[in-house]
Amino acid sequence: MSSVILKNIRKSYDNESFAIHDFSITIADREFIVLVGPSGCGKSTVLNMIAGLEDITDGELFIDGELMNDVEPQSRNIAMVFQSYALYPHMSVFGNMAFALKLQHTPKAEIDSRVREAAEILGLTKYLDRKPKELSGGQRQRVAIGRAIVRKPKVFLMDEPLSNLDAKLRTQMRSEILKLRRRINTTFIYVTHDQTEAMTLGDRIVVMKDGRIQQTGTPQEVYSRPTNIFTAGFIGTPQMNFLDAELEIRDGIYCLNAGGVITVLPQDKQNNLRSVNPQPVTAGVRPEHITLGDGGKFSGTVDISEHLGSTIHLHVSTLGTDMIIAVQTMNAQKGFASGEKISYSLDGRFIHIFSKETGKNLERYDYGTFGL
Amino acid sequence: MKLFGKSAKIFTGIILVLVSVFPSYWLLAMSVRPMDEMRGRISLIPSSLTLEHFRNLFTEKDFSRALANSLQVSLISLAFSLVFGVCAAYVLTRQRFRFRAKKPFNFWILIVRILPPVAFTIPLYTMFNRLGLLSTKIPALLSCILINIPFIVWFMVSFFQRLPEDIEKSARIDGASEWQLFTRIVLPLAAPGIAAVTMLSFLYAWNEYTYSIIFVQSPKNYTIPLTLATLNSEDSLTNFGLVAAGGIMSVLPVLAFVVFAQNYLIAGLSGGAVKE
Ligand SMILES: Nc1ncnc2c1ncn2[C@@H]1O[C@H](COP(=O)(O)OP(=O)(O)OP(=O)(O)O)[C@@H](O)[C@H]1O
Ligand SMILES: [Mg+2]
Repeated sequence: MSSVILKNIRKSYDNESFAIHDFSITIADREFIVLVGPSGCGKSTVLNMIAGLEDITDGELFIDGELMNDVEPQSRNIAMVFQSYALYPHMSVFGNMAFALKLQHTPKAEIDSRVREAAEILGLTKYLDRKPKELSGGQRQRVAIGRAIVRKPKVFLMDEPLSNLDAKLRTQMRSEILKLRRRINTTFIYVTHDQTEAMTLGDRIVVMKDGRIQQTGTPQEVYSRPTNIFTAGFIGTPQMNFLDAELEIRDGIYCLNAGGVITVLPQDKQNNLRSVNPQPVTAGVRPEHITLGDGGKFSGTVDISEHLGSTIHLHVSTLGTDMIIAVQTMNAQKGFASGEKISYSLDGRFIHIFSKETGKNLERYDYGTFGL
Repeated sequence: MKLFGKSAKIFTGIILVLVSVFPSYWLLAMSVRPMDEMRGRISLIPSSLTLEHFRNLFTEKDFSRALANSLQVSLISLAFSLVFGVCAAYVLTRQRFRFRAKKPFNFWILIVRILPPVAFTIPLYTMFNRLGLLSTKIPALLSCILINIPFIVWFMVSFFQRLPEDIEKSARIDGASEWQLFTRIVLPLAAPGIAAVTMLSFLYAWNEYTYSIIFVQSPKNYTIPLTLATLNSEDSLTNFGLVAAGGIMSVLPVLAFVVFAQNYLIAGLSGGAVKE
């Protein structure tokens, strides 16, 4: 049992400005939470406060129901994996993994069996006698993880653990973390600025910007119901396209007017938009939700076509901006030349409508009716 | 062109070897050359060898006492300076240790490093005199500490700043107390720096002359540099052999110490780990 509760946490490094503003979240026992956001948004700061490495300026932190604000890191029973691995260079792999247990005066035999068990899980058995500098990046990362799991911590903190690895290794380690999570089944708080990691690992994602939570939700929710333009643009690759448009009511029905083309919004959006006044809006459409086709009501000119294997990304000039359209290679009979004229259509179900003024999503979701 | 480059390199090499090695060789040669070979034209290689200078050094000049004094002063001052210097440097570099005197302390260290050592002689002399310490070895010891602590702090501060802080955070989360963190993680990682600073501080204390010549008044407390100086003057500069033998004798303990520091100090501090 190890829930983590942050209540109105604030952090100031200089007593003038705040790096974290009013951060509140309740993390359930055994939940895998991912903090994601651009560089400098305060992800590490939050993690360090949970670990006890940074003081909490204001607010309350509970682990397992106990107030932790003034508890030393060594007494919080948490483990942390750092981006830099932070292995002890003068100790062997075994020594690194055994360090915490030795400090607790765990009996030798038990240390030995726990370290060996962790090494087995992580495929490190062969390397137990090596020094960290004799290992590859991926192996070092495993040692760092191993060092954390031998302790059987209540909460597992990870600060961008994969960002020093190359793309292929990162994908591999990502799935290993998923497997690991199934095996050790404890609470995870994972920091990353990589949204793919966030989407694939998290039970819930916390999207942050400038020290504030933008949105908390399952990967699904964050992807299909972004609460504001920032989250909409941050989650999903390639990025969501944004266009200036007008929200209009015609015959009592909400429609989107983009560059003179009227798109009628579907029934669920009609409900969600209830009582929103007609106004200039920013409409967001994901590249993968745009359909190419001769019958399309919109037209544009291809600037660049990027062939990525399974998909083609078309950069298209249209409606006075640049838009990216993702086309499944399977559906593209021929390649696209730059300068080529294309037409496409937007599906009202996949259009997100944000207030031009506040950047907030204008839809109010009735949770439960959602099926995408 | 290439050939020229190579011969130029060899030539430069020879010059450098001559400049740096020859004086040492000459000192060694002098120390084992019989007296009667020292007049007139002196040959490059002594034709016969003798240990009489060394014998005289110990029988007539009481060199063993100087040796003992020097060892005492150097080792004790070294121990003090290291303990205080290394700990102070660690505390100064880590943000989690906050106290008001931190800035003034940094400034004081800089001041002691900037001012020429001679600037301290008068205040120190007055202090030692009032305390009645001038007839003891303590002033020599204290003045070595005075110079070495700021040096060690200065050197180690830059060393500690380069140690990745994540490692220490990691150890704290692993359950290390402040003391365990320092002894099990920080010291081993700082071992190469500590070894370097140990050697340099020892050398300073061993060769210290500026303060000793003023503060050490009774000959029974003379350290090696002071004794060597008296050898130079007493016999009106004729007894080269004795001076040379004294020089050699003062270098030997240093060599021994350097070998010790390189082989055992680093290994001892780091548990044999930093041997890369
Ligand atoms: N020790 C510190 N002293 C002062 N300011 C700090 C300190 N650590 C972080 N900050 C500031 O707090 C803000 C949040 O930093 P933090 O390291 O938490 O960002 P992050 O989201 O982890 O970024 P990244 O993805 O680059 O690691 C930044 O503006 C940073 O400049
Ligand atoms: Mg960070």
